Amino acid sequence: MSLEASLCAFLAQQIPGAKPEVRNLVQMSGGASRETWSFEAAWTENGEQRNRACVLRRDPRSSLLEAGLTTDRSFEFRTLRALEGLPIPIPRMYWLDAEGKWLERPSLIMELMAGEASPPAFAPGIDAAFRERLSAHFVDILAEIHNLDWKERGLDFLEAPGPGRGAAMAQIGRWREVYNRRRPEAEPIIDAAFGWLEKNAPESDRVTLVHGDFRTGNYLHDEAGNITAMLDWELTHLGDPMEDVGWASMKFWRGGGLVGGLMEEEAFYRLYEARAAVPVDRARVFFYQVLGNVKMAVIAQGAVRAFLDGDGAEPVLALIGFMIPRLCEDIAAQIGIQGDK
Amino acid sequence: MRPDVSDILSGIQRTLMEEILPDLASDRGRERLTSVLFLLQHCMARWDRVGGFLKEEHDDLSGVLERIAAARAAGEATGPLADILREIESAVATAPGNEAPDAIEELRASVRERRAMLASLLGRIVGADLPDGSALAHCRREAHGYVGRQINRDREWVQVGEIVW
Repeated sequence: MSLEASLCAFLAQQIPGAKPEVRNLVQMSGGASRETWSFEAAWTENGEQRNRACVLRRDPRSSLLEAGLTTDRSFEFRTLRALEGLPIPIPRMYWLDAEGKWLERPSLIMELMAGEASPPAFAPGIDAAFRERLSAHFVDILAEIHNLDWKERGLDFLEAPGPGRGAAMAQIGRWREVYNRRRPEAEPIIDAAFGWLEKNAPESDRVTLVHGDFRTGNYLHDEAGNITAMLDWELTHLGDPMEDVGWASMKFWRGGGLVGGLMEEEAFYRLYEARAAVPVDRARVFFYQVLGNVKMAVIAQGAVRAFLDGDGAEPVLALIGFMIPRLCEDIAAQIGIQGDK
Repeated sequence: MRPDVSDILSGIQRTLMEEILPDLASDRGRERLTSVLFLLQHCMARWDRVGGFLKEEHDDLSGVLERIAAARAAGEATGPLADILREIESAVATAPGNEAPDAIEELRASVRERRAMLASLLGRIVGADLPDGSALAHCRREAHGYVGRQINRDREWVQVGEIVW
């Protein structure tokens, strides 16, 4: 059955009595971790014509992220449903096929949001007012995510880590498991880094919702510099808010030395402190920047593994593997491995 | 005259760029083919140096593991660290000489095996408090030395420009 026909059948099951049509189904470019398709859904409900511009996000045959281990479509779907009504621009979640019973693989269907996709980092020379507005909105959204009451929002299902070093150790354990399962071969620097992370795991002073991939490149924006949609919530979890701060400010995501190509690292921290009304613990941020590099290296190794296994025909998976040496070099410098030069 | 590997790869590259790419209608298709061309370019520049690159790492790893084994540091360690040091000592004792295999696949497997041993050691020794001058500190210096040299080798090997996520 074609994807279009599968979508029609799925929507007919989700909207009883309707005879939905799927139009203009197009696979969107990018999206190495998920297949992304745009389409229009049209149906008649109680005598009224309904139209929705939709995005289908479906697990690919081979993914950068190990389905079921690091991500779960239903977690992402339920989290975003729980965040509706907050000043966090997110797409509305429409329908979920958590098991892939209708759409072959686990999938969710959400609102198609307006806006231009941000690059991984903005290039130098963008308009100053645009940069300032975008920087402020970027940090405002991060502060909102970290300051929301996740218990009140019913996000307990994400499972809070234990106290003290629990948040850091949970993330180390999660990514070590991915590394052990998905690595094509042992990478000495990554093993060394896990040893360093375990020895240096910090205590957290609070547990918040963590986006898990909060950075330039994962949002849409308008011409004025307003973020119209924060996307890619597949790694969301409960943990240490400094994890998002560290991830967003990693060297890997910088452009022209600026966080996301937007602002100086210190300016980012100060803005966050002002908007979130909590101090940025630089030592914890550094720990999460190391963890961030390790995560990226593990993800890149998983991409190479998927490419080698041949269960996905995405050439970009092999290209992502070229990032591993650069990441390992950064990690070695961060954890103080001074080898012969 | 018959085409060698370089000639064939160049021919494939030309066909893809001049015949296939212009006919692709979708952005996604062009994006994927561009990635393929990038990979092909990488292979064309390096296919004849794969063996040399692997052999260099193999020899480096073998030397490092031999020196670690000679340090006899297992007695200074406890738990998993002592276990991995004994494993290294045993591996070196049973396979002295460390002659690099000629066949690429065997060479690759041999490198992989040695890397795994060094990775296990590094994971357990990297942050440990070790007295200066101890055999364990010597082992860590050896392992760090390999890391530094491998970073330099990888930097030279990859050189594919700035890969953007």
